[in-house]
Formats: sequence, structure tokens, C-alpha cells
Amino acid sequence: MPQIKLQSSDGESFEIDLEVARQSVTIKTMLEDLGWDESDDDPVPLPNVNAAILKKVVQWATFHKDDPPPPEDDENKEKRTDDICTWDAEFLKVDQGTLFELILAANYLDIKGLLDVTCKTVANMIKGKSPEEIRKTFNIKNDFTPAEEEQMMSCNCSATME
Amino acid sequence: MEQLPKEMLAFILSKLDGISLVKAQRVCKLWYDIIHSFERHFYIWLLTCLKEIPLNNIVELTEIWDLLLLREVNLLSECKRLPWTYWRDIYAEYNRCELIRTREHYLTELCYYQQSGQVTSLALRDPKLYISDYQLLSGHEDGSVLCWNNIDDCPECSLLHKHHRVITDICVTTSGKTVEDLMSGENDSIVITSSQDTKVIINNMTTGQSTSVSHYSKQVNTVSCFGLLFLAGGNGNILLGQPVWEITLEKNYRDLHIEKAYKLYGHESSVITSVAVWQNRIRITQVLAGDDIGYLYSWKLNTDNENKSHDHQLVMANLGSTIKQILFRGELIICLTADGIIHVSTNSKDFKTYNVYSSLQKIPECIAVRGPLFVIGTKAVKFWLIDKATWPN
Repeated sequence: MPQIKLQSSDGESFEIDLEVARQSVTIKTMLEDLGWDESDDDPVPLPNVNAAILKKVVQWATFHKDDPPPPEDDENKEKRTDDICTWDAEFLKVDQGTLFELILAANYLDIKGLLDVTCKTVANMIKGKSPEEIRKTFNIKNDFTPAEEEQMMSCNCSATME
Repeated sequence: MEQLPKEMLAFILSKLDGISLVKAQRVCKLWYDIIHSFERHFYIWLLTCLKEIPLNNIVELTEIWDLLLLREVNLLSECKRLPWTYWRDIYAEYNRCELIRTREHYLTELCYYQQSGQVTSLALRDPKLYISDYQLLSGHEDGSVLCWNNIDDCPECSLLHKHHRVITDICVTTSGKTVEDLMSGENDSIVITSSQDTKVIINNMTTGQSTSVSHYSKQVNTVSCFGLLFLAGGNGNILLGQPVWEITLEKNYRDLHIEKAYKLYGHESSVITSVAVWQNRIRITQVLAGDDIGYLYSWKLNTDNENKSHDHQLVMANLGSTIKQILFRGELIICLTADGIIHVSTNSKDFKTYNVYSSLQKIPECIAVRGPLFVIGTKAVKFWLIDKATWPN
């Protein structure tokens, strides 16, 4: 199986199967544009992803290399978040910083499956929590003035659903 | 969290369910702005409604009867004609059970005029779409039909109309069938009551006109409607079969036109005590009827094909005691039997039971449902509002 070298932002090289790397639309397009062939030995530079995160991404892509391609987005966007497979759930038991970096990497590398599952994981951390609990979980500052909060509470929908 | 660009955060928030969205928009200004833009541009509440609420319940709450006949694509585009706030309100209304639960407000008792006698039938309607603004209609032993406003806070009631004898059933409907009708505002709200005095009263609550109709030689035990299709069931005898009339309302909603009379040949049944009607997505109208020994029958109305003379009547279940009332919302069937048990089926096959007497120590006389709200009328001069969450799963 042909191999390809990827280089992280901090200069570390990873040699992986071409098929695994092609799950990233960004890498796939880059290779096509560069006219890459198997004899090329130069690493593909990925200036937005560091070694630690790239290692995780490669690990994920290797496990999921035989997945069917994800379905196209339609207007009625799939909102289910309880369909994360156990391997992914285990894989994503990481600190918040790493999770967000994985989201950024998945977005930059354009790996739909990884982006989806990481975003779902964050959505699950939001679900069922009160605004204050959400702020605490993600360390977000409440920048509403008391008057604005009052106004939101009196808006019929938000108020009654609280 | 700050390291994520706005569009990534938006992607994450778009994966939330409706209740989480409401909470999330109060986290901070950025989140509020993102969710607010979803509301306006992406019809997030409409999508959330279609995703989280069964279509039968959407039809029940919006009273746009023709939604059941639209294909998936048309459904979305038709619904989009209504403002996003409408769908937010529908969502909030449907999730009323959530509200009641968080307010620790499982049961509300309403006392009614003792002089009207016991409550014999109930119905819920929504005069205009606004959260917690239900009206409860109750029929009583002395023939009076009362209308209750403000049932959540401090209920007030007024007399709607009066029959000469015991009210046997109440049903409510709207004249509009499409999104267009709803938007044009020409949507009359109609209440139909039947009584042991053999008369049926049609009350147009929008115009305030009411008409008493007497086309029946027999007592009308039960009435039910879906949109403008209206069914009534009455007393008959074993050999001749039990009459169920399929009826349409005249244009001015002031008279009834009997389309077809069905004969129900039950077991040794003597009396039809309840009927219910609902339409499914392929234009098939299904009727349920219950008799006084507990058999629940089901058949389809053949509106197109007159040749199929005898519509096949199936016995769906034997609930063991007089079926006093049937509520029918597609897959969901709720029956109240005379032994004080509520039978609930979500698949038209298996019924789970809920013993009202053992939880309230009161004998249930009648029930009504609208979205998440259940009302039970009991003999001890009270209504009980019940939260859906207390029902068996």
C-alpha cells in the first residue's frame, strides 16, 4: 500500500497509508493539485496542526478508513447526538482543550466524520444543563447586564421553558 | 471555547435539541446572537418541531388538518410560510410537560359549580395560539356546557350553551384545514356537543352563533371530529346494528349533512358508547368505536370507493369494561373504561393500563387531551390536570 509523509506544524513527520490520508479532503485536494505520485518522498506540510493533535487525527482516520462516505447535508440537518460509537466515545475522552483543537484540525483538514463526532460530543456536554452550568463547564463569562437578563426572562418562550 | 471560530460554535449549537437551545441562548451574548440568527434564517424551531414532535401532535396543536396529506418536501415549504415565532410557540406548547415538571405542578384541581351536577364530558381547545392559554370545555349532568378560561392560574367559567338533558360528549374543531386558512384568519372554532335529549348543538365560538340540530331519532352517545369530518354514534339494537353517522358540516357551520350511516355489528354489544376519528398520511380515515361491554372496533372510511359496501370492521381489543371515551391521534389511542382505568396504546396493538382510581382515589368520568396536556374529570366535582410525564411509558 502506498505511503505518504505528513509534517506537523512543529516539524514532526508521520508516515501513513495514502488511503487513510485521503479521508481529509484538504490533503486529497492538495495531492491532486500538486500532481503527487508514489515516488515523491517530500512530506506534505500541515502548518495548522501540531504533532500531538495530528497523532490523534491519524489514529481516528486509521480506525475509520473503511467507513462508507458520510451522507450529504440536507436542509433538515441531522440533530441526533446519541449515535456516537463506543470507540469514538472512548477516543474522545480527552480534556476540553484537546477536543477543541481536534475540532479545529478536523475543520482545517476537512474530515467530515471527525468534525461531526467531535461537535456532537461538545453538544452533548451542553444538553440538559442550565445556562449557569454551561458557563461553568466551558468557563464562559456571563456578559449580559441584569436588565438584559430580566428582559430575556420576560420573553414568553424563554421564561416559560426555563 | 473562545478558541473556536463562530461558525464552528454555530455548527455545534445547531446540533442541540429545542429545550437545550432555549437554555443555551442565555449563556452569553455570542451564543444568543448565533441562536437568534438560527431562528430567523434557518427556521430552527420549525425543524425542531418536525424532528421532535410526532406529526399527529403537530396537527393536533396547529389544527392544520391538511398537513397530514402533504409530502415531506411540501410539508417543510408550506410550514415555512408561517412565522418562526409561531413554531417556537408550538414547540413551547408541546413541551408544556417540561414546564409543569419544573414548576412541580403535576396536578391542578379545578372545582366546578356543584349545581351543574357531575361532569360527564370534557374537551380542550386553544382560542388563539398562546402558551398556557387553553380553554377547557365541560359538559354536565344538567345539560350545561361550561367554558373555562385561564385554567392554569385562576380559572373562571361561563355557560356556553345548554341542552335539556345530560351531555354525552363534546368535540372541538376548526373550520380551516390549511396553512393558508390559518394565515387568512378565517378560521372558525367550532364546538359540537351531544346530549341525551337527542339533539346536537353546533356552537361557532368565533362568531358566537349556535344551532341546535335534531336529525336523530335515537340518543346520540358520542361525537368526534377530524377537521370538518364529524362522526356521531347512537343507540341501536342488536339485530339492526349500531348506527355511526358520518357527517359533514354545512358551509355556514349551522347545519349538518349526514353523508353515510354505518352499521356496526358487534359482539353481543347493545350500545356504542364512544367513537373517534383520525386521518393518516395517505388519506385514509380511520374510525374507532367502543361499546358498552368493552370491545374496541376499528374500520376505515371509504370516501372514494362507494362500492365497497361493507367496510371491514375489526375488533381491535377487548378492554373488559364499557368504553366511555376514546381519544385517537394516529398511533396514539387512549381509552377510558367504566372501571376507572385508562388504556394507552402507542402502536394500535398493545394497551398499557393506568389506574386512575388508585392514584387519585376518585372515579374518572371523562378525559381530554391536547398535546401534552391531559385533563381528567372525576365524580368528586373536580377536574385534574395531569402531566404527560406521569403516564406509563
